[in-house]
Amino acid sequence: MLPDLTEADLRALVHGFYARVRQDPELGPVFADAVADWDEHLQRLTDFWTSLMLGSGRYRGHPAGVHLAHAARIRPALFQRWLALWRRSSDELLPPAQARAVQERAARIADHLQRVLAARAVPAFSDQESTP
Amino acid sequence: MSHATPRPVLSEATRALVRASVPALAEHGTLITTTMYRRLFQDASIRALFNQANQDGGSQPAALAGAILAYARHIDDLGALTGAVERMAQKHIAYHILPEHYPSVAKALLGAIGEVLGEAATPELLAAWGEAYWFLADLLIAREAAIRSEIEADAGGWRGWRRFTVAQRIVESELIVSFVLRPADGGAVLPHKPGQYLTLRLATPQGEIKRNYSISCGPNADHYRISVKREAQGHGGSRYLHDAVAVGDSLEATPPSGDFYLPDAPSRPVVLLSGGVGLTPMVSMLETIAAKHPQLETHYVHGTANSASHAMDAHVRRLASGHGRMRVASFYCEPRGGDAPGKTHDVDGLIDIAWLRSNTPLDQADVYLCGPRPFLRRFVQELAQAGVPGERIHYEFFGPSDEALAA
Repeated sequence: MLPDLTEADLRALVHGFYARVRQDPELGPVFADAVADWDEHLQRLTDFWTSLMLGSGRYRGHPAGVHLAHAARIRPALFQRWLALWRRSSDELLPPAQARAVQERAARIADHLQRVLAARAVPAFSDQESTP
Repeated sequence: MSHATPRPVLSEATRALVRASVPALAEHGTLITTTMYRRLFQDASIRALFNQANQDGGSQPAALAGAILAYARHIDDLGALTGAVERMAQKHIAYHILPEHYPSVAKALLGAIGEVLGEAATPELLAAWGEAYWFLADLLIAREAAIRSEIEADAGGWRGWRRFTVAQRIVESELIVSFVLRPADGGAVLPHKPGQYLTLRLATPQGEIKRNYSISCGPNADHYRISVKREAQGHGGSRYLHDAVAVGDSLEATPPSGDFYLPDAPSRPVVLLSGGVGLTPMVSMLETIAAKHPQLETHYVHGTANSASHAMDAHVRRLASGHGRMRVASFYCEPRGGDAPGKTHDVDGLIDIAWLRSNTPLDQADVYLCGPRPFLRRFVQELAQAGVPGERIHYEFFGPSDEALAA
């Protein structure tokens, strides 16, 4: 856990990041079709990131399963784009050490989800990803 | 735009070796790139190519580590990297990275992998990485050549560094000075998109440095204007400009770049929200709106310390009164003696979301934000909480010597 990373920081990052995602010509349409309620989605993603980075324990869900439902549309290139936007948003909104921490975590998550999608199987969300 | 498409020419043996090095890279990624930069910067001419400011916080090594790791992960599906390649190519254009620089990077990268992995870095692994590196480098070199040709073909466009003369130097506040830059060759300039920045190369007594500065005037074929805050604690770029650069002096710049800008045909009202020197891209947008979009409802909201730090106020108010649908509001968080709302500024204190909600059309506007990191963090969150959807929030960080960069 990073001493200077707060829930408010992660909330701002989640909002700033999805602002860019929604304007992205490739990611935007995929998310527009998958997300019905953005307020709910952003709250869920804030819960997810505070669970990962701060141990809030608020996130209860199965990201891999959710992504499998959209497997047909998620090309590997989208993960790269997703990560690039995450890197840029976190570089802009967080101090360098905090940005690096959320970037490393995001890369592992992307890696994990890509393996799941490649295998088209739903494992339990691995401990490595869910234990802060 | 024609993107280079990676061809599957790497041998299976090479791909297997690169693939196998992913766990070690993930573990040592930042160490490898930090080591790589140390080796690379032993060569002063290479060191000068990079923006030193980005090394300090570790963001550039981290970004490069991420890029290398992504490359290794996608070695079997390099098409996945098209977006990343494009972004790197654009950044290389801004810093004028040329084909002849790639061998030095190869040497430093392979040396660093060898140094960090030790015995695990077998000759076969290093050879595979050499092959993989040049595969990526060739893609970048080809794409960068194509981009340079496109820019060069535009009216006023140019390739690489072009010499500009300081035509005017305008003191805007006690901390901010504007510089009007005209090409030394007497030619036209490429009109920028309002919000984009210039990358300058400055020959300071401490050596050559490169910095990005947002262009603060509207697009035109004649000149650029940058408005620079003197950062006493920065890395020296703004101090050099403030303290040593006078009318008639020259400096060099690459063509305007950046993806934070007002679209050609804005479709919604616009709120331009800036803190401190973050006003520079907003003033460029204001000039553009004044010239080209007479019907566009525009709200310029600016926060600064007080009248001593408040830049370009008279200019902004002139633009607004000539336009008619442009409203200006300035906030002072540390008003000093003589500062009074209604006289020097509009509101005491920091800009706050309640004020924005009651005074700007947040329910329909595109909101553009630029300022220091805490300013951005706060408003990105508060605007979202106020119900502004992400697709209407556009932001760019602007602060001392710490611009966020990918490798």
